[in-house]
Amino acid sequence: MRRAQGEEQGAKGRIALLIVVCVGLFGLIGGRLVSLGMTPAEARNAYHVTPQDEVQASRPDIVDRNGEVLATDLATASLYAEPRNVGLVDEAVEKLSSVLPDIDVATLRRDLSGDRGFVWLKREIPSRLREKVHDLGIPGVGFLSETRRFYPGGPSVGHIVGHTDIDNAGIAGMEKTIDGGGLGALQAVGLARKGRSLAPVRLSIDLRVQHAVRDELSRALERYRALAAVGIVLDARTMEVVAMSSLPDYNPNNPAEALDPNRLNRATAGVYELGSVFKTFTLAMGLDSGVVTLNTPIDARYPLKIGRFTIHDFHATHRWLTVKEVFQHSSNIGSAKIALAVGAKRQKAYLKSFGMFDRIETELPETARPLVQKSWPDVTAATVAFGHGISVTPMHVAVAGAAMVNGGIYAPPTFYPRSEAEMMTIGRRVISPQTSAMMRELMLFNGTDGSGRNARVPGYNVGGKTGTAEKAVKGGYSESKRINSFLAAFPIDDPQYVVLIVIDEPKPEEGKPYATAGYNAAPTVANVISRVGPMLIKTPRFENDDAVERAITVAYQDE
Amino acid sequence: MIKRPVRFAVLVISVCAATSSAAAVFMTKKDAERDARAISELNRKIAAEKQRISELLAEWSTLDHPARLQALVTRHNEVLRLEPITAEQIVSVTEVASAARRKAQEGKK
Repeated sequence: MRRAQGEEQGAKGRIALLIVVCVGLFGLIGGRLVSLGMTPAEARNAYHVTPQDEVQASRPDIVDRNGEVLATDLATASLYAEPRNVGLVDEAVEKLSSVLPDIDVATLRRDLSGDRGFVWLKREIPSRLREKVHDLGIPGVGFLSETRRFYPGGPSVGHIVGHTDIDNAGIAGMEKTIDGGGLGALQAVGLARKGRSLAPVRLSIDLRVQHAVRDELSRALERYRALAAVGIVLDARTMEVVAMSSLPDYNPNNPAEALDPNRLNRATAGVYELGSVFKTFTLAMGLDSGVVTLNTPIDARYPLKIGRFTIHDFHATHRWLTVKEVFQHSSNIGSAKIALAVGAKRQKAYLKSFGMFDRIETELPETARPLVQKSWPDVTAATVAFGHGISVTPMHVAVAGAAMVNGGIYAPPTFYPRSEAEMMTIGRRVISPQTSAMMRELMLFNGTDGSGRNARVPGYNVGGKTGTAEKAVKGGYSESKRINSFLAAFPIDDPQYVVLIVIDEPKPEEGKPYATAGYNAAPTVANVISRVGPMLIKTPRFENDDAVERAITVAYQDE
Repeated sequence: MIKRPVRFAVLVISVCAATSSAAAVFMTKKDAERDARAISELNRKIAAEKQRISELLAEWSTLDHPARLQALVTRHNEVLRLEPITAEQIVSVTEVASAARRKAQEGKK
């Protein structure tokens, strides 16, 4: 009896224990289910970030002023295999070679047969093929995606956009500038990653103009058998760089070319004694300081002797010249005398304000410091007046030239779009509007009646100044090696654009007597302007009679 | 037949309410899961489309590059007969109109 009671109590205890255990277990499972149900499902899925995305830095596209892509990120997929996990090698080889016809079957077979853990099969596979390979479903074969910077234009904008290194960091040109302007910091904190679109960076470059300039330069190189050529087109009112080309250039898709020193960007990183185009600035300071007027007579009968130096004229006139004629005949004696009349101190102050003594302040990292003599005796003042004894970059001359004709406002050039209102706030006056008007008159006169005749383009009223500088060689100046340049503005009565062409060591064209700037730099300017004029200026202007004649031809040419 | 009808009714109603609310919660949860999957699928597609668009843009700017166009025009210019535009070809409407008027007057004479 007592035993039975004991057993009954034991059974009750076991049942209670069983119940407790069951309830506990089911409670645990239920609780777990609830907790799983509570986790928001989206958190895992919406932004699926793989560790690979984390190492892929992203860069914004670079576009020109019309939105044409100059540089972009291309995601490329590279095919890899883990030979250890590839099951049937023959089948895999057969399938892969059917989709990728240009893959080498023998190498593929050898790669897949081994017992290695990882092997690249093919780098940079286009996305169409990527899908096909994916659909083959071969075990042990997969893709890793890589970002590569791609420059659709190739060499045409190489010097402007620059290029990136293997880690997609900008190391030259605007790519470097963009990194310096905060992108590097964004990447460092992980905000600029693959898959997040960054706003494209818009440049002031016009790709069409850029191509026309580069094309004409390459023709000039060939025609005049020159070493190098530089072309710059600036918006005279805002100092935006519309086109800048320096030949020989390099293809940013192949950055190794950039290491060749001959492919340096001469437009901002090469310094030259540019010669007679400097007379533009000398005359501007003469007129602005009131030392001379357009009709002041200057004695250019005899070579000018300063100490042991003698200054000759290339196109010697041996007579008294007005200031206007000094510009027209490009008289070294005349401009030296004007510079001496202005005085070394004021001359230096003017040149400083034209930016000739300092590195160009612009977004491009590749800029050179001008070579300026420390001491400034009279002979330096006289030679600088016609562009010798001072070495500046072509960009210096283009920008200062724009300031001479745009009403006298100087501002550093820019590769980003800039409005005229902005120009008003950052620009500074370097010569008076009256002087600027006189400079336009001089350049027009030189265009119609002087050395710039070969640069005239109907409808665009081109005015400008030639420069033929003998290159400094060991022990003096070479007579056969020249740097030729032409600084032009159009339309010269109300300049909108400034064009500067510099040709390094041109040889005379067949049938032409000289290799001076009027015979090579000026026609190149004319070619450039006749090509880019219709793109940049909507309404070419002609003399009144011309316009009517022209309209008749246009209206009735089909009859 | 039913001993306590009120109590029974309350029981039935509460059981029904519990079942239906549980069912509703279950369905909502399933819907949310499905939507989440759809969203991530769409996001993946958007990313892929964006990728494709940037590839096409790059391809387009290669195809549309002035250097390439110029090379093509030079090669096929026997057929195309294209020439660069000159300033003389650009006129305003008023110029054309006045020229036409002049021409008409000359015609009358």
